[in-house]
Amino acid sequence: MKKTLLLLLPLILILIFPVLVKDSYFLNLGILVLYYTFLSQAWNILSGYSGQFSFGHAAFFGTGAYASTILLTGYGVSPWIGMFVGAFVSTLIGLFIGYLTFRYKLRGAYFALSTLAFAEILRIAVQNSDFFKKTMGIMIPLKQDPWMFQFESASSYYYTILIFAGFSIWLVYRIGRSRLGFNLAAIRENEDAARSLGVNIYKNKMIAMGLSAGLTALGGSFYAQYILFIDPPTTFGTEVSISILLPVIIGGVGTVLGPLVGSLITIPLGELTSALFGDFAGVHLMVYGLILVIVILFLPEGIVGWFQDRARKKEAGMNNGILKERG
Amino acid sequence: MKKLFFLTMVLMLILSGCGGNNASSGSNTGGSASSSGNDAAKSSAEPSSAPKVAEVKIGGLYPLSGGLASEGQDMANAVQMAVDEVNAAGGIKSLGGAKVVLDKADSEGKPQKGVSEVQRLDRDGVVGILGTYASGVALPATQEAEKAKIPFVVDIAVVNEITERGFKYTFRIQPPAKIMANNFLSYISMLNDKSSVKLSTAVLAHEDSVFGSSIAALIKENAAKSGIKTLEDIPYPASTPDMSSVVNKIKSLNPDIVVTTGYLRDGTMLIKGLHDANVKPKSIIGVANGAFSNQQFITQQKDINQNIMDVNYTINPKSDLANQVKEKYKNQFQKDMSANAAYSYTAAQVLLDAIERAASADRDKIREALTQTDFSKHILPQSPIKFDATGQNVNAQAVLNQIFDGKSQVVFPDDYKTANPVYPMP
Repeated sequence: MKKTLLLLLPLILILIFPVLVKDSYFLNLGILVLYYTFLSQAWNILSGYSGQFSFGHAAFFGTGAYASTILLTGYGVSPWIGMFVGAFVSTLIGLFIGYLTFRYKLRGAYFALSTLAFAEILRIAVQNSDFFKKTMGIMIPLKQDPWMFQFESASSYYYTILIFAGFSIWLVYRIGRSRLGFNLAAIRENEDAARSLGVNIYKNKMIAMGLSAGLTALGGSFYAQYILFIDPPTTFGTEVSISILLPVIIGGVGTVLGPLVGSLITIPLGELTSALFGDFAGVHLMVYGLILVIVILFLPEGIVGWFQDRARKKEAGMNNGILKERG
Repeated sequence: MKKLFFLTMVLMLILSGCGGNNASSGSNTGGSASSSGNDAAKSSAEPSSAPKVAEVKIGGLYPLSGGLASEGQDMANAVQMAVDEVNAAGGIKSLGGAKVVLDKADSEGKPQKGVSEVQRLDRDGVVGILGTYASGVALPATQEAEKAKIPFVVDIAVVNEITERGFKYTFRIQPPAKIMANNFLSYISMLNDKSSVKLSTAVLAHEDSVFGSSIAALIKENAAKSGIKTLEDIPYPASTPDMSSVVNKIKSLNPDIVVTTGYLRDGTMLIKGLHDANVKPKSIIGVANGAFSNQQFITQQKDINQNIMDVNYTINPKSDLANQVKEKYKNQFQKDMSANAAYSYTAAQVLLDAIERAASADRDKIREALTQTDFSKHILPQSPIKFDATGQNVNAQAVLNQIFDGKSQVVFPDDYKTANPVYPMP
């Protein structure tokens, strides 16, 4: 009873946030929190559950952003349709990367680096192609029409991304309780043991990769429609990949609520430090980075992961306040 | 292992964030918005003979951290200087001596951050915004300002589209890519006309982001009309560790002119590479080149930079006012005033002048005043600053500079020139 109330209260708060807050700056903050929740949740499906750390999700993000934008500016296709085309293309790209990396059993740092390289290849390809307007980037004309995915009020953007984020949380929750989720967790904990138990490693990783890539592309389309300007470094750049995985690492890798909790902390923290130390250039990023280092050092499981760990230990009756040492 | 991986990553993130030293301690009121846009609009709607506004807040959106931090901080400092000058002279007189407060915002050179900072400035009640240096930030930031109806005076940002979107609240001081490219072509024609030796073939070497690419594309498009044949267009990433392939290509093509757009580091590397490979084009001309107009390159690369030209925005070398401003800037910040800073200083003056003439802290009235701008007491090599219907400074122009013995001189147009051009290079 107490637990449901504890869960219900934040949920209601999230739902009525735009009603409570009229200020566009804070509303934008809310949108960013949900936007990063969605993106890092998409990353979580592949990297959190199966342990295959991708440093190249910008490849999918950029694909989504460019696909919906080019369909809109070049062919007048509504982003509501374009974003799913982008998701489809992105899934194919994800499966291709998966085919190359999983087939040849790249793991750990090798997998991470190859995804990173793939995102860079796409960035350079886009940057040198006339079709993608090279480095000029593409501007989406300001046309406040809901059918064109442009709203007059920020709260419409808020509720759109809220649905996205809610869906991703629900999806990860379902995956966690499905055969796929168990298989992925088995792969993460010990791939060889999982294989010996008859888990189809390749197939499960491919499904996770496809889902993760498609969802990330939707996030990219949302970004393009929200900022109304895209160019190669801000969609395919490494910084995009890092900002996608940061919240989930703070919140808790492989947990359902990790991305949400992580975004709720990192995004306002970034804004807070820049508001407090904005006068001293660079200091806010140092403070922000320092806080991240501290969290990663002392809560290697992330915040949600730490709470889950504690709860588990309590159940097992071995809660003596000492955290289990991990490698 | 995993932990180590993340730690390295986060550390990298931090390091990338602090590129540059501290900005001067700007005066910030910490969000005590005494003249928020809406309040001001209401108060000015009432007919009163002496409008009472205690302070007027303006925003300065610059990359204060990140890779462009050094330029961004120079620019923010220049704006602060212009604001301090107005305050020292009694504030905004038409508003009963209202003090001007500069609200600094850090775009970190990122579009998304630029947008959220415009929203923050809106909430803080600024009546106008200055910025942004990076074109990628300027495009979405001016769009956000347009939505919020905040006048935005762009000091530096090169891409044409900034003033080509039918926006009502966006104004730009700098000559855009189009004018830069046109200025270059007309200067080349002029040089060829005056010289007995006609140079006709060119190679364009430029950094491959929007900055270099947009200018190079415009030159390539119109070069034939000025009698210039473009042999090749060589883009390279600004972060490249090695220029030898660009140099080799130039060597094999053997053009009369090397036309180049880039930043300080890559521009210096290119000139060094050409020198080491003994490539001697008859002319090297930068267009908005970050190296050729940079004091560091001009004074420290004397043995290789003789007679290099640059078509660029700059400070008027013949104006006493400009020299005073430069002097003052150097005393205050222990640094030479860059052309970027000069443009920011001027943009701030233009905005403050508009506020003075609007006699109001209402954004729409200030916008209205900006459209009527006719500002001639400035430090730029151009006629009065006036905006056309798109918000572009109609008289904006780049001048032709040439480096002689570790000093950059203006060699064209005649009104601003301090030396005669040497063309082709001996």
